[in-house]
Amino acid sequence: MSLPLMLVLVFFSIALIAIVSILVVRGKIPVKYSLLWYVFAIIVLLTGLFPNFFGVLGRFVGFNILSDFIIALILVILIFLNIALTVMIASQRRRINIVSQEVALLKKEVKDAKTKE
Amino acid sequence: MSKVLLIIPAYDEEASILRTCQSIVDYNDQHHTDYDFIVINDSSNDSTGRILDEKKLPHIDHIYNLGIGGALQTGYKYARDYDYDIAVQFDGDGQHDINSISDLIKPIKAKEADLVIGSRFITKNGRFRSTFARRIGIKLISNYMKLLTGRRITDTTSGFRACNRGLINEFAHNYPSEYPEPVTTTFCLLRKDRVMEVQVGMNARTAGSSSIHTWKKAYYMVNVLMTLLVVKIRGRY
Repeated sequence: MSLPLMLVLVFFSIALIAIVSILVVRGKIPVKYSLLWYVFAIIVLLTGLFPNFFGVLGRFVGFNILSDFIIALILVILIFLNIALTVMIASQRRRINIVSQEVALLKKEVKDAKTKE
Repeated sequence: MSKVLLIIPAYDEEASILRTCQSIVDYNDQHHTDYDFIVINDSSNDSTGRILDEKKLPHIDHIYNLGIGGALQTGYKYARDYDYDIAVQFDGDGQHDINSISDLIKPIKAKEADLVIGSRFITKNGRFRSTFARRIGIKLISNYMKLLTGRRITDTTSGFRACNRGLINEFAHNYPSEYPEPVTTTFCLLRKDRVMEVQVGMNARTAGSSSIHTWKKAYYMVNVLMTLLVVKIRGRY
């Protein structure tokens, strides 16, 4: 793997760690969810720092070019992250629906109580 | 005497909601029945909410649009909280014939059924006319449900239905947000609930439009077929 590509991967992963850390510190991402992204950033960082190891691994899986293997690896990880996020969104949506239904029912009860007074 | 609640989901139904509610009041007067009703205003953009407020019609306003499944579930929660024996889904757009409700709830009162579906297709001379594509779609879903459950339901997408206390509790707890009619029917059949179909009158809609738009039909079909398969595998939705 070329030196520039290694540098790009290292810089990208450090930037990712920095961005996620800032978001965590500002309270935009809970620590719980930041761990996923740290793991992802560390994997990218390792591919940049130890291309030889990933080169062997890539050839074993059948990739002739290391950069292809790294891109494929990142893609697979991102797909799994995406599935995890879809699951989270679905459960959030379900909960928000329940809350809004309860609010609507309560609003009616309050309104009825007020008109009775 | 069973307490009966009509659940009326309404989204942008300003043209027909008053007439629908009035028809229930008139029917109660003429037939000495005691049907309560609750309109679920699913965060309408038009004056539906204002009409309901002004006329002091019993209603619940959603704080944002939850869709038909969410609206019906709010109705079932209300039915559960206020201790109703029978809940009937009744359209806000005047499509469902109020005179059919007595046929719909009779098997439940007699404890012969848990879920009664109002069908347009049991007798051939029903007044209802639908497009060719729609009939094909209904036929396909009907055959598919027969395959999954072993029972033939003629009108799988009918939203005119009644259920008993057990199912009110079930639906209040959990109700599918997408394609509620075929999904709940399949669920009940797989659970070996007693599901019955009775012939009902249905009018062409007087106002509003179907929630199934033309361009969404293929997507709708794929989604329904897959959702029902999941119900079959999980035994739940």
